[in-house]
Amino acid sequence: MSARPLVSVQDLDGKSKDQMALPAVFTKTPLRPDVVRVVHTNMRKNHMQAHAVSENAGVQTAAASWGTGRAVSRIPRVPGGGTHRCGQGAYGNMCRGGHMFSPMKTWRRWHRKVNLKEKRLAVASALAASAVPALVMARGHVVDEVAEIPLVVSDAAETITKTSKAVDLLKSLGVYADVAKSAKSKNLRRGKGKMRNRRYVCRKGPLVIVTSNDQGFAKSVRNLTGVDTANVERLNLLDLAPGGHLGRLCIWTKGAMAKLDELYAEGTGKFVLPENVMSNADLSRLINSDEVQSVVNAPKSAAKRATLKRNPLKNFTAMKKLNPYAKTAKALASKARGKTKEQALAKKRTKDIGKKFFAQISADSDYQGEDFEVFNNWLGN
Amino acid sequence: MASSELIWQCIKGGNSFMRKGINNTYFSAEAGNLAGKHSYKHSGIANKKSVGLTEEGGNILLTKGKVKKSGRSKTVFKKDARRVMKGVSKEVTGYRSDLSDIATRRVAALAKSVRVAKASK
Repeated sequence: MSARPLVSVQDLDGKSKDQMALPAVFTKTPLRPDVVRVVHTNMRKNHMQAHAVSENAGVQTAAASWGTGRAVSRIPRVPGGGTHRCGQGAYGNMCRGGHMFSPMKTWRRWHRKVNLKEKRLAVASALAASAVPALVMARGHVVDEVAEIPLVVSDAAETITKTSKAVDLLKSLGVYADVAKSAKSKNLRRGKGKMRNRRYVCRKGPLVIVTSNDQGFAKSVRNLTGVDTANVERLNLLDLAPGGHLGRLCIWTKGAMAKLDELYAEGTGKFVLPENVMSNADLSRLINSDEVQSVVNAPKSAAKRATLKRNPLKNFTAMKKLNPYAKTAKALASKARGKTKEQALAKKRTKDIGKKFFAQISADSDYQGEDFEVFNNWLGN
Repeated sequence: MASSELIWQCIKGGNSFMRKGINNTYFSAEAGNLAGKHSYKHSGIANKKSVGLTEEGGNILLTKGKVKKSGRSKTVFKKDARRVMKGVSKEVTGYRSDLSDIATRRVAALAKSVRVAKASK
């Protein structure tokens, strides 16, 4: 048993005064979102109640087909006379007032059996995920103010019996933000569930996990919106990974945390912790490790792309690349032509005059400028 | 415990910060995500080293490091936009060089918003 990481135990006032070793479940169990999803989907079906359409829906008529030769379709028709109903089609799923296609039966297979080992693996994986802050955040819990994940409270919390005291504790732990988020999210359910005793929906808040020695903490906290409670010895995947998503925010009492060591014992025991396929899943560390780097080929130089060919006769930089003497040749040639600084300046001045004149005539042509105004006045405008 | 690749595999299918854009693009509303894109490189949750840039009271706030907002190391940049961009670029290149371009762009956008806000006051 290698050195276990330590997790700090928060006191009732939110300060961490104690520490304990983190149970193996949190560090050793592989994170298996695929297993959790499948197990969750199937476990969720287990609290379904059988329902069905009424057996005699759509068949409470004495309808019989008229057969062929009567210029009507062969669907069974209601016999008799004296009312609109007579002669109307009946029984078929396409008929008005007929039975539905494949009427639901109560003996549909509602519940699913999941292998015990799979269920245990899922729970262990969900526990491991609840100890990864990134996953808890990604699931949507507000954990910015929480001191440490996993969050462990001292056993003194199990003596809390008043909800107000529990709220104070949650506030000092920094978890109340998540509870508040849940409370704020309470809304009417859409659809018929409203009138079927499922009136409100809200987000999930933290899961409080206590031991069997709890003297009222779970009860004090259960009325808060979004807060669920659980006993360590009976951890439910539906609570640990709501929606099949890993990373529920869990609040453990110290005793509950310690009990996990017994329940999910490493090595021998009732349930043996599954092994990770990769003991080190950190890809970047693996790639950069000595063992890999020593055997790996040298990095290939990037593919040389075709460059645009520049004409040296027009582009001087291209010319210089081919013929380094071209620079000095050019300087000599211009000297020979006698292009001095004064000449260059004179040339610039003539250019400036030309520009000014051009601006002038274009202004004139646009009927703007001083001269035009004079002209305008002369015209008598 | 959980490497960044492993965490990304868990959350890439869906997490509470994912936002959908048009044309099958996905954005991310995480604090430590510089480009707001839903991808491993940009993720502020999956990566151990992530960079966040926000505007706080007219100053640019650069946060580096841990996943939880409270655990991140902060640096505040108060000077003008050009100096801030240089400073941020320097810090990010030393920390996560693959994000330095994006960081600079984000700082430019933040600084502009600060300028606009000040001008409209």
